[in-house]
Amino acid sequence: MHSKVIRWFTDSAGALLLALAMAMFIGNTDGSMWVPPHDPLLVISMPVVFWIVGALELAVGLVCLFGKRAWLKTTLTLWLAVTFLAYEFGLFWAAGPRSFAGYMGNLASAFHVTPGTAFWILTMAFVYLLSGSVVSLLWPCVHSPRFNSEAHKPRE
Amino acid sequence: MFSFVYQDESIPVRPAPIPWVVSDSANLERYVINPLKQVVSNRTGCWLALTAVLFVGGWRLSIIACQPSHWLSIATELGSVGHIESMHPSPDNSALLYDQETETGIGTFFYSMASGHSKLLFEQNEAGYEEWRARTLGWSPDSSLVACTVPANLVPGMRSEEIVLYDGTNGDVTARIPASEYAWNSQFTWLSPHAFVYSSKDQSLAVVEQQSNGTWAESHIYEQPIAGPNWRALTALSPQSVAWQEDRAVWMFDFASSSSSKIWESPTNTTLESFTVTETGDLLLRCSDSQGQLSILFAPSNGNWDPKAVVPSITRNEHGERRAKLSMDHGLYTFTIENGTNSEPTRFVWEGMVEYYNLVGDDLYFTGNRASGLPGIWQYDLNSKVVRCLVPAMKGDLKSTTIVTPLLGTCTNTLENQISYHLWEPVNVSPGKKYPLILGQTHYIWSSYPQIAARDGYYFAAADRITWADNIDNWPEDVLGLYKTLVERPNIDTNRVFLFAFSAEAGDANQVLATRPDICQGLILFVPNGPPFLSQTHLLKTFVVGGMDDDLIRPKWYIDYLEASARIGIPLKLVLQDGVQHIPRSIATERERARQFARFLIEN
Repeated sequence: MHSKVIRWFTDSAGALLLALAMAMFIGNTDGSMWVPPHDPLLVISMPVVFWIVGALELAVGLVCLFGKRAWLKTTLTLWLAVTFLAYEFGLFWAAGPRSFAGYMGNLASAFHVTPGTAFWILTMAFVYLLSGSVVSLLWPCVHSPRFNSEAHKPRE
Repeated sequence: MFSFVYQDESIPVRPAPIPWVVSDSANLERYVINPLKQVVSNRTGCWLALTAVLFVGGWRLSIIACQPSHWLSIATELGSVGHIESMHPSPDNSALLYDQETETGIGTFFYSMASGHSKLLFEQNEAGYEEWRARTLGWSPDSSLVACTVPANLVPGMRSEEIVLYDGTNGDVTARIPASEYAWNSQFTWLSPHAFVYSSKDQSLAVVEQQSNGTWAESHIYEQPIAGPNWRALTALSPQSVAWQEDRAVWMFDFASSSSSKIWESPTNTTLESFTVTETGDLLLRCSDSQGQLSILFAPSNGNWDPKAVVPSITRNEHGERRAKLSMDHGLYTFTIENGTNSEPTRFVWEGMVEYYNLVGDDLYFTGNRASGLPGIWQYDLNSKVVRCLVPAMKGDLKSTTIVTPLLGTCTNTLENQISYHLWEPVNVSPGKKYPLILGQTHYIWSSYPQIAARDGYYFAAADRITWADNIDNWPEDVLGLYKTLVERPNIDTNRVFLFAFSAEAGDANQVLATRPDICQGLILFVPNGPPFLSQTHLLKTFVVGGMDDDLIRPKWYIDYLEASARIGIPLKLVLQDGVQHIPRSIATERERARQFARFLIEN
């Protein structure tokens, strides 16, 4: 049961990450001549941010779909989700609560959604990846015989 | 062998070495083919990967499929219409010089009325373009020659100019005269068919004459400045003297005595607008009083230019002056032409757009277009009342689209003045559907943007201005009045209204945003030199186009604006074009602007 749930999560995470990576690549290569803003945290152009994030998503997504080690898949997913959400928090802190829409750039327009919607889709996806990977990593600990024996040890 | 059984961390797997170098077929199989086989044999993974790709790709394709068909090719074609910058008909109506955008810059063309063909004389690239270095200086009085200044050297810091004389019948080069002293503020005028005069940057004069052997050379140089720096309109008074305007006065310089003298000065409460020299050598002085009332004074030469002899020109056009005046009547351009007699002026109504015009003899030349056609240079014969297109701005017809004819309307602006406007409707309007609206107040001349907007499913409405400067101060009032009129149309989506502003109009658009922030959700700005709009945080979409070589707005301003907009959450689509100044001066630049404008529209 445990392996099946984790496998279901890593497979869905892989598909989700591949979809996000592809969306970011399409957003970056839609042929427009827009001058992109610079990310206030890393001070690099936003398409570069999307290329980097997209490449990481692609790599982790492929590992999730075709890799063999479950701990590696969940750990990489957790790392990517924490990194991205920390980045979003940093952007929020550095540029203000309304800034996300200003940085979504071509990603939103390429898929005909508002920048705010694009931001929430990204955030929800990474919150799912974060929570799923945390649960997947903690599951063996919570359900291990040792954990259970310690947790349910009757009081003397 | 690959196992389909899910493998977790409990199963030890030996890590494979990284195949940095595939040296032989065994390694190729081990490090490339086998892993690929494993990937392919993982059917679940493959299906999920394929699903992800198809989902995102399908989403994107569905967006592309819903876009107006051929939007990019339409924008490309409409943006490739070269703008005609100016025109100079010959005095005998046998030829025409005009400037038009080429693929890479501005070309000066010679058009022969007899042959009906145009010929490129010279071209200046857009990058580093300087208007004063390549321009038509004027036709000789007998139309046998036309003078142009042409850059002899385009290397930065190594400027050298020359005045080139072209044959008035075929456009061939007749003479090249080095004019190293020619500068941006130089003046030029023909003295006779065989002599002309030009000034240097410090108002000294050089007279160039045709020699007995047919060559052209500087015959006299007057090294002392003959006028102040504010002089303008240098005109030949006779073969031996020139006149010019300096503030409220008309001055003359006599070559024989090498002296300047003031001919006439207007009273302190009167502005001298301009002056002309009649065929008999007299002066016609156009003045306006403090209320803007125009009057024409007549100054007979009589050899001594007595100010007391200056009298008002009472009867209409008593001195046989020919002139055309352009006005707009209920949204239609109307020429009022005084053709040298005391008869009633001729009125010519043009159902289209007009930019430049020039009356020569019995022919009126103008640049513009019919409301349903492409622009060009037109000739209106005052005698036969026939108008014909001499030079179309684009060879052949449009291939991927047709011209959308604007509707003419009138409304009241917020100052309660009646104004006219033109409205381009989207093609194939469906009764129950809402369409976004682009609003502005612009000079009513040909532009590809209303056409592109209509093709991309937008209403494009513009309150009319007869010239660039005329009525621009009423921009906010006109646009607000127009908005009030148009929102009553059931097909207009009031949640998708954009303001359209060019250059100085951006400041007026800012005023609209300040007074009525609720009416618009987006901005379309071309080279805006107004203040930024960052206080209007309700804006959802902004499109800005600028040039990297703009002499009015520095690229840093655009970048700072972009970053500031992003920080407050306004997505800004910024296009910065290399080698482009405030005004676009090549078809390539116009085309790219049109394409990016179309892209912005279809993405929003």
